[in-house]
Amino acid sequence: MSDAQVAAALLAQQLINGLTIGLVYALIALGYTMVYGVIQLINFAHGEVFMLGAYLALTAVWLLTAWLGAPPAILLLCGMFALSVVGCALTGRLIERVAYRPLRGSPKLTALITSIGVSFFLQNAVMLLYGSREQSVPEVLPMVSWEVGGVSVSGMQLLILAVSAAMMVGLDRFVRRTRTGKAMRACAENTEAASLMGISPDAVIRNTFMLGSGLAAVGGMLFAMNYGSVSFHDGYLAGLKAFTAAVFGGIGSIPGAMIGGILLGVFEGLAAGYLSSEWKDVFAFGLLVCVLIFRPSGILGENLPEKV
Amino acid sequence: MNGSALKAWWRKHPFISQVVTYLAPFALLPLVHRNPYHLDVLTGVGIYAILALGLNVIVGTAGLLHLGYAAFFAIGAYSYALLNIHADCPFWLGLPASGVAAMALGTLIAVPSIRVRGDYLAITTLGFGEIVRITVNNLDEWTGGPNGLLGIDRPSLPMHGPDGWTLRSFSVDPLPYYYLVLAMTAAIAYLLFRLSDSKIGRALTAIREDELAAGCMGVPVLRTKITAFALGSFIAGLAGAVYASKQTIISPDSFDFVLSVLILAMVVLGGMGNIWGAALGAFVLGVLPEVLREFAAYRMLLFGLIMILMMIFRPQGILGGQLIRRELRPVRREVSDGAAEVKGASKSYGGVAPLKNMDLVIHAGEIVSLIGPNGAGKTSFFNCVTGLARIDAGRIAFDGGRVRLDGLAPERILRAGVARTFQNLRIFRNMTVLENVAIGYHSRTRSGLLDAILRTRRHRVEEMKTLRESLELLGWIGLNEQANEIAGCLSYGDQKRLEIARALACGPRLLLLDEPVAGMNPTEKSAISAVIRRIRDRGISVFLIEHDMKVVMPLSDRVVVMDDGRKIAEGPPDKVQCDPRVIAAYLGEPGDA
Repeated sequence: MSDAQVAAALLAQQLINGLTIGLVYALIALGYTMVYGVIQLINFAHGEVFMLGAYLALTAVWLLTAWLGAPPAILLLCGMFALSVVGCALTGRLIERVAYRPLRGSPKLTALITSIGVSFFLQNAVMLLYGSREQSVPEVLPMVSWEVGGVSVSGMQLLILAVSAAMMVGLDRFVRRTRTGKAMRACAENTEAASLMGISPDAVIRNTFMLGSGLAAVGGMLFAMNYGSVSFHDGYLAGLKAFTAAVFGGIGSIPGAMIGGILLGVFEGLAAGYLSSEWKDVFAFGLLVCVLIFRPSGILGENLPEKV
Repeated sequence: MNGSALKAWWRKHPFISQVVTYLAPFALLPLVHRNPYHLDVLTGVGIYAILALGLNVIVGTAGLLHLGYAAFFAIGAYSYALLNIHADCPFWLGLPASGVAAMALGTLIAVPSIRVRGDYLAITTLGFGEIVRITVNNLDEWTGGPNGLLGIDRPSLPMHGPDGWTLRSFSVDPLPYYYLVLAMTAAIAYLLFRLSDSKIGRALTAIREDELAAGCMGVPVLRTKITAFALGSFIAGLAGAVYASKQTIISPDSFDFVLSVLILAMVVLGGMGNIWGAALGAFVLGVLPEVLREFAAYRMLLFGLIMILMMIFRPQGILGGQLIRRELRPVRREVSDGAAEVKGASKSYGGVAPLKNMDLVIHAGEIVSLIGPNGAGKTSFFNCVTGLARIDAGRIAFDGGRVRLDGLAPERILRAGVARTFQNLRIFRNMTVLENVAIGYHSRTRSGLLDAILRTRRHRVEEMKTLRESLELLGWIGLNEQANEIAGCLSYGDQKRLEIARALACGPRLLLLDEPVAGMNPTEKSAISAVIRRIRDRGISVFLIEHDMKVVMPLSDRVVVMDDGRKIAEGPPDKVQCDPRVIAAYLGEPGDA
């Protein structure tokens, strides 16, 4: 291979790696953006829900192997998916009911501080339940990878691509076509008007939290499988990155969160590949800060000035 | 000094007496209980208290949620450590240097990011905090990377030892540190009390209450916020230097997000904006882990829970907000005339154009009413004149054409002599009536942060004048009885009056009133009409938007009618009332809109 080909292969490799992690960010970012759309809350605890999803996926593997010995991979995958999605959706619902609903109508900062409290609580609850050491995740899928022109693509990466694509298409259909989805969009547009049209904001907010948490759980499951280990610290950084993605794409916008997640992943992949992996988090946070300062409405969001 | 003189002095200096009362037990404690471990824990609590006091300026007083405060603590600690290790800088020089270093970074970060609103600012500060921590972690050759720096010198002081008084370094004995930290806590608390009872403190509270209204009353919002940010960072820097010298070893792990949140939790627990609250929060959260040793694993779980429960059941914290009240007597004041001319003002938002080539003249000492159907562009016009919105074309001249108002920021326009009230009341609800009015004097006084903290003569004189004149103004408008009440507790009519008094306190030559009698009963309406006439009699031109024709017609010298962004009629009230264009605009109901 010529130098140019090697360089092209390296670029392609970084793009694929970035895309993979970007899709996971996008899955988490969707929860931030949907919740923000409906109640204008930065749900700081969302990253911890993602982390809980990873742990629940691991728990499912433990339970199924303890029960069935060596079950087929497809069964394991379904079990992981079911336990983490259902567990996280219920957790999301509980958080909303216990911590956020009593604060409806109070200042934004009050709710934000509460969500930091929830985040600490969840993180430490998981640490106490599962121990503070990193847990390794058994191999569910056989390690396979294909090499095309110097670029290697693993089976795991394809799985992430397929699952997150399915989730996003599904979410898009859900939000556009179903009754519940339309109610969510109406509430995001104008909660008061929606409630005058007979839509219950409480039900919509509950559904939004469940849906967002479920998506984060899927992200958590894929993350755990991809990295082979989980730690109770994982939620903080991944959560912040996903929030960056949501803001980058335009908070409140569902396609924005998808685009923002993918772009952030690719950006990070390129920064790690060509600049320095030590500094890649600084790039991500730098991007976050710059977007918040210079274009808080993001790529697709709208800017709302204060009304006098 | 005899007993009664001492008592009088004590009463005259409420801040000194408070600091002494609350901190004296801690000063006396080592005399009766000399357990080194306990004193060491309390020293740690003292460092937390300094941090909480500093963060309270930013979060509590100014209302800017800061999630990266630990970074400034880190900057202070590393500044002293580096100065000490590389330049052999002694602690007493390193301490202020660390404060200044943290303040410099704080200002550098605040300048671009302070415009970011509310929850976004919180995330911005969090982002900066993480950037600082990772940078410190990665700059191995300077900061020692994850291993940190060690061998940092402790401070030296003349101390009494076996060979008499000698200059000696603090040792492992916790007592000198205990007193150092206690003295710093006392000094910082005292200076912050001074700050909160000053023009700057009042301006910060006003910004927290209603940023837009504060700007319209002449408070330079961005500059004041940056000041708060810089001051809070400075205090964190001081705490960092003390911490570094006490530990003699520092590493990036000690300055993570958890610490930022811990300090925030202290401020929240004690009561945001309350100086003793911040110290109390630091005490509770600093001592709690020691008391609950056997539950160490549950510590952070508990923090999370405390934050959630506090926000739900007592968001104002244990001690709640804090108010400093003063009572004073009246003095006279004077105001000169003001005239304005608007030519061809146009404004559009995409396809919607609330102003289309609007012309208007207001003569000195005139009462001009602006009427027109809903959506005619009246409030948009007000917003353009007062700088909340910018006109796309045309000009707004003031003071006989000597000042161009278009393009100026709200606080500049105010200083030029144009003040306003708002259609939907924007008083500072959690400040007293007197403080609300005193905000109006912000732009007319010159003392700054240092004057406020050091209590210079200039600050004392200005503050006395401000409060006396504010009280006089309240008497003039009929609110002197309520001067020390919380503004949010006044009746609606009184709140409307207060908003007018606050605008008058800015010393305007032209006053813009946006629906001054909306929602009032007939008695209140005639009272406000009388107030408006008396304002004019003081030589201030009045320009008002009002729908109530029973008020507008007898009150106005001239009436201007707007429809669809244009002036459609103008003249004396009785003429305008019969104008066919006006009747058409109101669908044939003259005099009863």
